[in-house]
Amino acid sequence: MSTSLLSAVTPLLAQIAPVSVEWSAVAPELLPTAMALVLLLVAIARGRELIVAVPAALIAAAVGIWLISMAVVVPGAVVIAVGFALPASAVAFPRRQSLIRAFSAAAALVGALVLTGWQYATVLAPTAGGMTSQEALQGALANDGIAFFTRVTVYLSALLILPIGYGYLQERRINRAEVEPLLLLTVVGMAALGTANDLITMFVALEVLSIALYVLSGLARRDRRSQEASLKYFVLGAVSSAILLYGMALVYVATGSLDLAGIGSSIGLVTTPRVVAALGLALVTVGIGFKISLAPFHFWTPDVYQGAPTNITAFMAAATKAAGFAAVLRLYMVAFPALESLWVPILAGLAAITMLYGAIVALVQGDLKRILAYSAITHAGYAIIGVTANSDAGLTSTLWYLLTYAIGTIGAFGCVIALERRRRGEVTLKELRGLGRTSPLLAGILALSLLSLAGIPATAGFIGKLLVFQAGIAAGLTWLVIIGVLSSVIAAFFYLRIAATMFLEEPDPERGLPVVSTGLSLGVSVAATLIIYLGVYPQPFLQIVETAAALVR
Amino acid sequence: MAPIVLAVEGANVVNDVVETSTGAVGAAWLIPVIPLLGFVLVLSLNRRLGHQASLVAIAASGISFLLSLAVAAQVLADPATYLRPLPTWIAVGGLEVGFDLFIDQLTVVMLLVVTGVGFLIHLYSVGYMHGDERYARFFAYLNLFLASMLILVLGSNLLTLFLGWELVGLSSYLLIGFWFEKMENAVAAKKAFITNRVGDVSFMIAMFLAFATFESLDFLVLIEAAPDLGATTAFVLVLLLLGGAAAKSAQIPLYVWLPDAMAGPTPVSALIHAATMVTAGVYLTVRLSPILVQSVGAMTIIAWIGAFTALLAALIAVRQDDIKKILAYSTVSQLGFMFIAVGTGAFREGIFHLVTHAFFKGLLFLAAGSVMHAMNNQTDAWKMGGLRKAMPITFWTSGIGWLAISGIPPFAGFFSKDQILTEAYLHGYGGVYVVGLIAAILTAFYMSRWFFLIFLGEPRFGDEVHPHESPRSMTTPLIVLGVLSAIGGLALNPVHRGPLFNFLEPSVASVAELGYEPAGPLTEAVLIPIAIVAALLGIGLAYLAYVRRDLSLGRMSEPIKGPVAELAERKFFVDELYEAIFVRAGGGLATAVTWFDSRVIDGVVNGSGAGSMATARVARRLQNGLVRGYVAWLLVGALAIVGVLLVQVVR
Repeated sequence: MSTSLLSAVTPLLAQIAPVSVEWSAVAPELLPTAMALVLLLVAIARGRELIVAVPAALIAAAVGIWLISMAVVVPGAVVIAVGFALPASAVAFPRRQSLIRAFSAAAALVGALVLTGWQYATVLAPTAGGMTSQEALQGALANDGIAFFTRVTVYLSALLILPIGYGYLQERRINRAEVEPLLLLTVVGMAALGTANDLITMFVALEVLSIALYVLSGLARRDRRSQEASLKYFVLGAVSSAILLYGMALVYVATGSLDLAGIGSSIGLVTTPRVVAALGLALVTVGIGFKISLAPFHFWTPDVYQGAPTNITAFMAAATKAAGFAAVLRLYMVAFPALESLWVPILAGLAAITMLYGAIVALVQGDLKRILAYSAITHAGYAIIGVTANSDAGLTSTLWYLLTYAIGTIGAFGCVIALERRRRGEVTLKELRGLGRTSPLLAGILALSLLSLAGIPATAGFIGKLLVFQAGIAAGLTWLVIIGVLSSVIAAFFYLRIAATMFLEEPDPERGLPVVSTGLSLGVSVAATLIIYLGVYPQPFLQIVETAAALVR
Repeated sequence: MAPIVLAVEGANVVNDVVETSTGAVGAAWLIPVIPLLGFVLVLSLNRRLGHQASLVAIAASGISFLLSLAVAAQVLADPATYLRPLPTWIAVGGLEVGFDLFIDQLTVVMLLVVTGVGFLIHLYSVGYMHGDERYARFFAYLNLFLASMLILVLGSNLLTLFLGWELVGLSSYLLIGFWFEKMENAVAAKKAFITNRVGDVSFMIAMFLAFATFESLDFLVLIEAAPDLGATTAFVLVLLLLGGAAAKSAQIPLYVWLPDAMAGPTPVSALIHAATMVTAGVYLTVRLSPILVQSVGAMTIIAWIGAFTALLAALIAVRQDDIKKILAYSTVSQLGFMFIAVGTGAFREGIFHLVTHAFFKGLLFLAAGSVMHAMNNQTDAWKMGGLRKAMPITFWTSGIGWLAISGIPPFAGFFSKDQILTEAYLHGYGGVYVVGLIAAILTAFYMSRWFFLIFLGEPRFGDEVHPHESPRSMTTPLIVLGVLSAIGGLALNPVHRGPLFNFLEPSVASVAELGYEPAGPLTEAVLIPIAIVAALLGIGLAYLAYVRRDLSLGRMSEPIKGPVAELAERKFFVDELYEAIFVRAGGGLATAVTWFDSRVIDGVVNGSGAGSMATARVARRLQNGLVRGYVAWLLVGALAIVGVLLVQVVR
C-alpha cells in the first residue's frame, strides 16, 4: 500500500522502497558518494561549513532513523554516525577546512568498511559451501566474493592513504577542496567495478574511477611532472578505453548479451561466431591489460606513477590494481570460461613477460617512485597467475594477493612521502642513505613493506605469493610459476638494494630528517602491523578468502 | 597415531608418533619464542638498556638452552617422534600448514648444538663487542638469528622450515653487514643474501613439487609417502632440494658467499658460518633422507658435489693468509665432507660431523677472534707468530681445535671425519673416498699452517703490538669448546656405529635396501690407520714448511709456489667468473631491456632530469612522439594479441 503511495510521487522512489533489500547490495558505496557530494557543497559554502554540515547531518539522522525503524539497524547507525562526523569535525577544527574534509572522508570510508562487514554478516555470511552471492538491480550488480574483497581492499587503501597524504598535500599546497570528494568518487568507482556484472556497468564504473584519477594525478598544477602524468594518463587511458569498448561491442555482437553470465552461457555455443568473439576477447584483453598495467601495455605506469602526487600514486598502485583485477576475474571467469583455451595461453604469456620485464627494468632505476612503479608492474604479473589458473583457488588467491600487495605498496609509498617532504623533489636511492641510522623506525617500516613485496616469509606478501603460485601449480602452469619464482628473486635484488642503502650506508649529514607527521606515522604503522599480522596469523582472513569463490554466474 | 617407520633393521628402532602438549615437549615452543622476545625487548629498549642488553640476550639464549636440555631428556627417556600442536598458520585450498613442532632425535641434536654453541657465542660476544657503539643492537640481532635457526629446526613442515630458512638469511644479512662502515662488509652481506636467494628459487620449486606430489608439506606425510615416489620425481625433487641446501651450506657452485661473509664480527662468523646456519642444508637433506634414498642417482650427485667442494676449498685454504679466510674455506671444505656423508648414505655420520664441527670450528673461530683481539684486529697470519707465550689459553685451546680438525685421535674431528670416509668406501664410492682423503691431507696441512704461523716461531710483528690474553668472558667459551672438541667424539660416537649413531637411527632413513657394496677389499681396520697417516702426513709437511724454516721474511718466505698455488691464492678465479657471468651479463641484460623501455618505447630519453621540464618541453615531448609512441606500442601489442587469437581460432 505504501508502494502505491510512493509511486504516485516518483517512479524512482517506487523502486527504492520495496526493494530496500536489493539496495543493500550497494550500501557501502552510497555512503562515500553522499559524502563526496556533501563535501563539494561544503567547499562551496566557503568557511561556513555548518550551514551545509548541520542540514546534511539532519538528513542523515532522518535516513538513519528510518532505516532503524525498518529494522536495518547497523546501516542506520552507521549513517547517523557518519552524518554527524562532519558537523563534529567542523566544530572541533574551526577554520581548518582540509582537516574537516579529511576527517569526514575518513568517517565515510570507515562507514563503508563497516557496511561491507555488515553485508558480509547478513547477506554473504558463508555457509559450508561458500559465500552466498547476491544479484542486484536486474543482474547489473553482483554482490559476492570478488565484490567483498575489492571493497575491503579499496576502502582500506583509501582509508590508509588519507592520513598518510594529508600532511603531504598541505605542504605542497595542493590540498584543494576537490581532493577528498574526488578520492571518494574514485573509490566508489572502484567498488562499483568490483560489483559490475554486465559490460555497461563495468565500463561506466571504469570510466568513473579513471576520470577521477586523471584529475587527481594532475593535482599539482604547478608541477610539470604532475601535469605531464595527468595528460599522458588521460590520452592513453582514452585510447585504451576505446579499445576496451570496441572489444565489448564485439562481444555483444557475438553473443547478443551484455550481462556476463549471459555471455558466458552463449559464447561457447556453436551458433556464436567464434572469430568475432575471439576478436572481442583480444580487444578486451588489451584494454583491461592497460588498466592493470600488464606488459607490453604498461609503459604509462612509470611516468604516471612518478609524476603524480605520491599519495595519489600510492592509492592508484594499490586500489586501481585491485579494482582492475576484479573486472579481469569476472570477465575471464564468468564471461569467457568457454574460451579458456584461447585466453589462458595469452594471459600466461603476458604474465611471464610482465614479471620478467618489470623486475629486470626495476633493477637499474634510481628513482624510488619509478622503482615502485616497476614493482607494481611486476606484481600485476604475479596476480595474473591466479587468473590463468582459472579455478576457485586461482580466484581466491588473486583476491588475497591484491589485498596483501595493496598494504605493502601503501606502506612503501607512505615512507617515500616522508622522504619526499624532506626535500620536495624526487626521491632517489641516494636520499635513503643511512636512513636506518637517522630514523630507524621509518626505515624499518619501509624495509618491512619491501620485504612483504619481495615475498619473504612472515610477511603478508609471502602468503600472497605462496597461494598464487600454489594455484598456478595446481592448474598445471608449472613453467609460469617457475618464471614467477625467478622473477621474485630478481625483484628481491632491487628491494634489497633499497634496504641496503638504508641500513648499510653512512647517512649524509647534510640531509635533513624525513618529515613524519602524525597522520603519516599512523597510516604506515597500521600498514606495517597488517603486514606482520597477515603474515604470521592470516588464518581468520584466509577462512573468509576460501569462501570467496562463490560468484554470480 | 601410527608409528613412523624409517629404519627397517629391527623393531626397536621404530619411532612412535606422539602428539602431546605436556611435559618438556609441550613447552618447546618457548625455545624459539624466548630469543624472539629477547630480540624485540633489546631492540625496543636499545638506549635504556645500554650494556645490560647483553644480559637480556644471554639470558634468553641460556633459557633456550635449558629448555632444549629438558626436551632432550624427555626424548632420551622416551624415544619417539613428538608432535607439539600449535595454531594453524595457513589453511587454504587443501594446503594446511601449522606452526606445530616436530621433535625427534635429530631435532634434539640440532637443538642442543644450536642453543649450546649459540649460548657460548653470546657469552663470548660480551668481551669481543665491548665498547662497540651498537653493542645492544648486536645482541638483538644475535637473538633474532638464534630464534630463526630454532624455527628452522623445530618446524614440522617444509613451509615452517622455509620460514626459519629465510629469517636466518635475513638475520645473517644484518649480522654480516653489522660493521657496514666498511664497504666490503656491506658488499659481503649483499652477496650472502643474494646467493641464498638463488638457492631459494630451487627450494621454493622443490616445495611446490613436493606439495603437488604429496598434497601436504608435513614431514610426517612426506616421510611416510616417500617410498611411493616415482624415480623421476624423486630425482628432480632431491636435486631441487640440493639446490637450496647447496646455497645455505655453501657448496659448489654457490659457496662464494661464505668466505666473504667473514667480514662480519668474529662471533658472527663462529655462530653463523661454523656452528649453525651453514648446517641448515645438511639438516634439510638428512631430515628428508627418506626422500633422498628414493634416488641413488641424485645422492651420488650430492656426494660428488661434496667431494669436489671439500677438495676445492681445501686447495684454496692452503694459500690464504687471512686467518679468518682460512677458517672460512675450511668451513666450506668441512661442509663438503658432510655432503659426502649425505650423498653416500651415511646420514648419521654426517650429523655426527656436523656436531663435532660445530665444536671445533666454533672453537677455532673464537680463538681467531681472541688472537685478533690481542693483535689490534690484525688478520694476516704472516704478521703474527710466537703468540704461544702471550696467550696460553688461546694457544692450548686452538691446539685442541687444530688437532681435532686435522683428524688426530682421540680428538673429536678424527672420529667423525674418519667415519664419513670409511662409510663412503664401504658404500662403494671409491672415487669419492680418494678425493675426500686428499682433502683430509690438505686439511691437516692448511690447519697446521694456520696454527704454526700464529702461535709458533718468532714474532713477525712490530713493537707497537702487545699481545695479551683475552678477558675471562672470551676465554671461558674457548675452554668449554676446547673440552668438547677434545672429548666430544670419544663421548658421542667413539666407534663406528656407536651411541650417537644408534640414537639417531629412528629419525633417518635406512640405506639397507640400497644394496651398497664396498669399493674394494679394504676393511675398517685398514681404513682407520690410513686416515691417521693422512692426517700425520699433512701435519708433517706443514711442520717442515712452516716450523723448520726461517720465516722472518714474512710472506716472502711462503714455501709453496708455482702456478697451482697462484691459482689457489686467487681462488681459481671463481669470483671473477661469476662476476663476469652474473653481474656483467645480468647488468647488460637489464641495461638492454631498460634501453628498450626508455628509448624504443618512449622515443626520447625519459625519467632523467624531470625537474627541469618546462611546459614547452612537455608539449614537445607529446608532439615528439612520446605519447604517440606509446599509442603505437599499445596498438602493436593489440595487433599481436589479436593475431595470436585469430590464428588459434582459425586453426
